[in-house]
Amino acid sequence: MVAVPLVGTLDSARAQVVMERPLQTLVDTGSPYAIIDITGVPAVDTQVAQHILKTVVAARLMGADCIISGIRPQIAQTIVALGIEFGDIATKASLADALRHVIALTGLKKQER
Amino acid sequence: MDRVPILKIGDVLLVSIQMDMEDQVALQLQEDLADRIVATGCHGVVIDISGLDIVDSFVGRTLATIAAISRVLDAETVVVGMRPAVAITLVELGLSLPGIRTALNVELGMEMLARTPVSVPIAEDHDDGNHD
Amino acid sequence: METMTERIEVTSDQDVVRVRQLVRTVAVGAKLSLVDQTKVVTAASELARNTLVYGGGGTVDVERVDNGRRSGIRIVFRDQGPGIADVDLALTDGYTTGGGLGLGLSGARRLVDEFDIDTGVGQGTHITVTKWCR
Repeated sequence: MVAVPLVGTLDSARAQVVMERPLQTLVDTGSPYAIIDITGVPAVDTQVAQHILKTVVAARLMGADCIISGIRPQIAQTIVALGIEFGDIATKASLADALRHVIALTGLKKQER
Repeated sequence: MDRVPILKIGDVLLVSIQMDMEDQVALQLQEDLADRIVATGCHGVVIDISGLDIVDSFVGRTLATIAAISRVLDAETVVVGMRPAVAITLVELGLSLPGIRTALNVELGMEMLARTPVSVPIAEDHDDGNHD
Repeated sequence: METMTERIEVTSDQDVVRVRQLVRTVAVGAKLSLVDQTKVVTAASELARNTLVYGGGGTVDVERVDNGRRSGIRIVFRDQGPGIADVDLALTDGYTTGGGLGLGLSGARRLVDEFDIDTGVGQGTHITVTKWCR
């Protein structure tokens, strides 16, 4: 699995560039899960949230998935206030939770065989 | 006309698209695959698109059709190796590739097929393709 | 500054491939990022195919453009086909998924920065798209 930290404010142009990185690491590592950690992102607006959503949809098209971690209380409130739906995308408050989640998911996969 | 080669590996047919395909080549692949699935009795198809630097709506439709035809012939299809730039573009284009399973690479695609019991309907098959 | 336009006559499948390759080359020269190159080549593929399939064949002109601050690529698709009766409808056809016969115009439009269309029943179709380097 791979954890990609996003740091700093994400303006639209930068957000597009930054979103490509988690997808490229999926290819490079062959790991089916990427954790996008937004602890370092001070604010999330509709555009940023849309970029995150698009990245997750793109990852799923590629055959992988993303977990968003590092969601601070203010950001959680903004997301709800803006009416942004994360649907079935897993979101975790801490990176540690996200890692545990991925380990559980990959462990389940191995048991299926 | 160039034809895309199809390799048989055990119970799986592997197709690796390395070139920028003309539309006719894509359609020929569709036919060739259907023939080979029937001829070999294979239950899995892996289509490796890591060599494609773009996937437009025609290729997308062709992949969806291949998956649908294969399913009728009792074979599951997995598309692997989609490049990040292609995935991002498909999201922007609004192309969702319904009914197509994907994996990051050939190895993971093969694992996915090995985990799938044959002749069990796949739950995600809810779409009739008429979204325009 | 001299701008060179290269024209491709689109009368077959192979020509659509040539359009993709030419657009890729010019987009690289205009310093578009990989994702932006992919988007404009994909849009060009859709529109060139429309020119062939719905327009009965036509021409595609590709040129590098500069607006003083940024470089970009401009592509013009022309055909003398039946034209599009309801452009607004075609442009708001929502998402194109696997099975539809939609022209994919709205999808192609999302992939570029500027999109102009001039068409009408019996008047052929003329589409100009531009994508700038960021």
